[in-house]
Amino acid sequence: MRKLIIALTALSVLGGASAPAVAKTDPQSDLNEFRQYFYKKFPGVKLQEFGDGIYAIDKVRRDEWQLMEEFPSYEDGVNRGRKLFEKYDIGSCFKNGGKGIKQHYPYFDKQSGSVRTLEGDLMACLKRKNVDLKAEKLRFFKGNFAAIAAYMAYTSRGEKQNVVVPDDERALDVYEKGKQFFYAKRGQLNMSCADCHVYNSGMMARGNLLSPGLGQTSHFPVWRRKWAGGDETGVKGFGTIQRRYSGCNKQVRALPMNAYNSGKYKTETQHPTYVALEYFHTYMSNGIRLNGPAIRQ
Amino acid sequence: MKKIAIMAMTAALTLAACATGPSMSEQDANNAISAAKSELNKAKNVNYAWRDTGKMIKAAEKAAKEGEYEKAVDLANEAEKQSELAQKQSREQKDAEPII
Repeated sequence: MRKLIIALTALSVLGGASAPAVAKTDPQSDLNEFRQYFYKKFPGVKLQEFGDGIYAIDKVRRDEWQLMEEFPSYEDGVNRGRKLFEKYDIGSCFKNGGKGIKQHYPYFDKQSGSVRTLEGDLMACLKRKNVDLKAEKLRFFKGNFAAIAAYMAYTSRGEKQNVVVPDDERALDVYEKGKQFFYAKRGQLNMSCADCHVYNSGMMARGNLLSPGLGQTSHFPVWRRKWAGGDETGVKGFGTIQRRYSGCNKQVRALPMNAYNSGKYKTETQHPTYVALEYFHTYMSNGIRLNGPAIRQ
Repeated sequence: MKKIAIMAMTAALTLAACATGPSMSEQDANNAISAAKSELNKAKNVNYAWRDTGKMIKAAEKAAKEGEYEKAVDLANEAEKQSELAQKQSREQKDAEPII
């Protein structure tokens, strides 16, 4: 009897010590809390409206944005993306010919035990097809590459984001890493993603209105005049969500993830930390319709 | 008499400045740069390096090359401090959670 008690005690101690990180992960509960927070912070703004970013919470900026969307600067870039998509038969690498599929990304791939992003799969496809990435100027995060991703997003407009975090320790681990990154302060300014886009969303940071974290992933890749640098209708204005993560990190004076390891992550692959962040971040916007590519400040 | 007093005071002040001013050697600069690099690597290993620390170390190396050892030491020390703070930040934020 004494041995049994000792064994049971040991088991309970061991169980308690090894499980907590994953056992407490409850993405659905996180999602509910996240939404409720923004409903309270911005009363009257409906779930789908959060997909419009700051234009859901500021009428003057919304009017201006709607005018810009009448003849959107990204239109020619999306066409460029479509041409490249067709030229290299990108659709053959994806389900449904690569159209109307973005809402399922990022997804957890059971076989490899990793999370896949749309851009990650797109780059893998281009490499499989031996596309001359240099000649076509296809680099992660921007330009022609982001234009193809923008075209794929365009074909998915109206679909509700539907990211799945399965009850698999590996998937939950990536989700937790993304969540931790989102809420952890970093950089010389000691600020987290959440500092700007949760707690201070709707406030001004110099001339910029800080967008709510809810709905942010619905409109990527985005087209920004800042990135276009005078190229008003080309592909230079495009950037994927991970390009934005990198920019945000720089703004709080943290070294962006893709700058680690002597540029290895600059063009060839995505940094696993940003993949984890994208997984968590997109899951938080589940249920909101995709409306990318979109013009953003 | 007045002139002598002014000259004496000027000389005394110049001497005092020379006596108290730090004089750094090339070795001091190299040691400081090496320490800064080591701390930056530690910050990078935990994915927590700050944006400008690497640039600061490069500026320190440039200053050392040009013989401005004091400036090089100052920059390297600042870079080292930044990386130490970054590592501290990493430890403190390890279990960051939402406050909502």
